[in-house]
Amino acid sequence: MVKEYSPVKSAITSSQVAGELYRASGIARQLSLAAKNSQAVVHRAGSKVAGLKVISEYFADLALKTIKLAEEINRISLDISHMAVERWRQNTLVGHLFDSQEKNENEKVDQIIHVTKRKQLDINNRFNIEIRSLESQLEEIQQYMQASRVVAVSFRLEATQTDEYQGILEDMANNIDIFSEKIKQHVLDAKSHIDRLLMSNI
Amino acid sequence: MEAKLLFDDKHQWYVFARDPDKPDKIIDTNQYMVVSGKESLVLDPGGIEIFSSMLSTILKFIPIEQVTHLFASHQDPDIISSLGMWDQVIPHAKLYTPGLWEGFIRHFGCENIEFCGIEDGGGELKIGETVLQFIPAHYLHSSANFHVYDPVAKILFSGDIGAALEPQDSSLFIENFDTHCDKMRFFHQRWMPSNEAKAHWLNRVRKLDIEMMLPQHGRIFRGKEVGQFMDWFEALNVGIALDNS
Repeated sequence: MVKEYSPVKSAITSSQVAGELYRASGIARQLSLAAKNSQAVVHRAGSKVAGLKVISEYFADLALKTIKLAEEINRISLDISHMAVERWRQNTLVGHLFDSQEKNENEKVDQIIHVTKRKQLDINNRFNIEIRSLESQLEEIQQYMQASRVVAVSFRLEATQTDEYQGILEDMANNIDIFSEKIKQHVLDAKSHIDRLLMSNI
Repeated sequence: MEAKLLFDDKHQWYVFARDPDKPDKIIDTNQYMVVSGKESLVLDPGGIEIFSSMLSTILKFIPIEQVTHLFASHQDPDIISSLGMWDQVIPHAKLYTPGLWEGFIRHFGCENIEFCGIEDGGGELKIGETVLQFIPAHYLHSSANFHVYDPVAKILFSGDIGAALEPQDSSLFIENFDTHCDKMRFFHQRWMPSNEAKAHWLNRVRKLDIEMMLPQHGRIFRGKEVGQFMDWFEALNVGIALDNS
């Protein structure tokens, strides 16, 4: 049997996740700017930081992917939120229809209950699929942030081998670290909202 | 749903509008939110059809525990038919709305939220450290109707006054007052029933220092457009259905 989560909690959770990812998207844009800056510095430094060329390209690509994924998760969360409200309205309707049947049983109303319950089941299945996919996308963005922090370590290492660019590279490494950590925190918060929903009872 | 910060000092005013997910045949509405400290007031939170967009948009800016107060200028469905949903999501919140409409508004569902009826004379509400005033606007258009004035931000939330019927993708702000009048005229002539009520309201709000006037439909008035609107509205004959019937 497919688990059914409280539509009220589901609507709140998906809106909370959308909120977290909206904030993460904003930081991802800052991360992307840091990536572009790093490419410019690497280009300017030329052979002095040759080891960073590939890393900075990888980092720029990673930052763009992060923005795209954060926006995609934000969009899915909004869809889930609409779905949760729709399910909520159907549940309310079914409740009222059962009340009506208790007062005065009617065959037509029974048919409406049947149709609405089928819709409920369908939307519940879709909801469960979407929420699982949301979870895996949050995992993915978390992995991006781990990769981003590896990039920061490389920048820091390279910085120790250059004189002229040491300060800039260290600043960049710090920025990458800070932005990645902030995004990771929003993702963790989003995941904990989902976990609380998945562990809850209707 | 588009979200924009309108005022940002010790407290904030936001507008939420132009929801692209809204079904086509329902009227577009502007929702507003005042945030002060850990409390907030959502003004005319909207109909049931935009509830999920509203919830998601609000949570971009504040956590759900900080949605503490709702305000409904009157009883219409585009204003507050989402109440039954808010009632489940923020059960400890308070709803401020005309007391006269209590028995009617409760039809939307209000089992948990505390219903705080505003007396006909108006009143005040403290949100965080911000004091807001309820300005009577009875019969404009609803028989018990309030606007909200913020003397610090110099903002008047004017409900249906200043409303315009426009396409979904129109700007949030007035760009040309003269052409905008064409979009407001029929709405005010047909929905507003009383020239006497209009004069009463104008007399009251002209004493307020207003830098921004926020209607529930259409575009936001800024600076001199507020005074221009009042002059335009004063000269407008309303309640025209009586002449046409």
